[in-house]
Amino acid sequence: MKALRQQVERVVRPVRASQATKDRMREDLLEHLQLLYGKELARSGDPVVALAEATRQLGEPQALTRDLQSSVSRLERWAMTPLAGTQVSRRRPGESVGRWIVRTVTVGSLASGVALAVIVFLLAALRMRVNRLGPVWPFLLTNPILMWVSLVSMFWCCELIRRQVEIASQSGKRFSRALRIAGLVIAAIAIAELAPVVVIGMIWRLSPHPFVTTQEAAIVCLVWAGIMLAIFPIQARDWIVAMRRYERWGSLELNDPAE
Amino acid sequence: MAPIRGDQLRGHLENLVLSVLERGPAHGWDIARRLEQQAPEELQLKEGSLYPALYRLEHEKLVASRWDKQNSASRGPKRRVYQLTRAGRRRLAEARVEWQQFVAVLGNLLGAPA
Repeated sequence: MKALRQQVERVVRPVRASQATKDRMREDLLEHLQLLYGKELARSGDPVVALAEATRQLGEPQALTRDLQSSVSRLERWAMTPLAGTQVSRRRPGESVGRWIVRTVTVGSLASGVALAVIVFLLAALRMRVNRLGPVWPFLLTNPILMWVSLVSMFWCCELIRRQVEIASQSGKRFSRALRIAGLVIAAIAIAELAPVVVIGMIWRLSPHPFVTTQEAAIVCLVWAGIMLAIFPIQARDWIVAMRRYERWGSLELNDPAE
Repeated sequence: MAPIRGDQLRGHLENLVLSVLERGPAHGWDIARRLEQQAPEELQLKEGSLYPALYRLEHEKLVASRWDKQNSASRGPKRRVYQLTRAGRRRLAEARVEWQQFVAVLGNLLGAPA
């Protein structure tokens, strides 16, 4: 029942803790609230009265939030301190997956482009490789663009995998779904690995004096490929968990009256 | 007798939970019902506050928990079963001694010995 989940989310959402800790709080409180509601519904027969009585017995949300916050260790609280600007990456209630991916990846790519420019100019200022630096603008320009393409493709692959997994969990056609998922995983890794190769290629093409050697470029590509191979399965799994969490809890509007 | 509300229980709730769990592992819901059975009128507990108490006890390793496998097959919320650890039993024994001393001292001061 949505009203019960809303009540639980009012309590848990403001708590500063890891998602795993908050998921556990949600499950515990929801189970308890559902049982309270069932008991009160059996007693009164009126869903509105039962909801009001169940939420009253659970406790006032702000007091419960404070109480739950006090049960979180200082280290965890500190680790979960929201950093300035990170709220941008949070999916807003009602926002489509595509819009969310494009919005967050655009912000991330631009931020990384700026950060990279600062690093490159710092290196130049420190006279490191200044003799080979040459015109770095192709690199600075192509990197955020290709990062954008790479990440949007990868997250979309994660989303497509998630949809296949959800369908597979509801239907019996697990083998064909598993094949499709495997195909999507390979496609996502291939797309993500292609990015550094294209970046290096574009630098070579656009820059008359590339500031990385062929060997260095090959190392970058290999390291990137290794990282992608290692993180993609974790990324896809985290994506599925995060999207399920959003659908169940994050998409709840807490200002509307309880239904 | 006037009911005992949540604020008055502060500091004692953890010990009450330990004493309930001494009788065997239980879900949060079962813990609330056992407390209610023992003092149905006197104890007015905000039941949500049981969980922060359980989490604190778990951090201190006085209580251990696991997901209930019987319930995990269903699509409803998952249930967690809590049980007393050895350290929890020791803590409960200490809490009982401390409580007896507390009641004895304050009872004498108030002119109402236990």
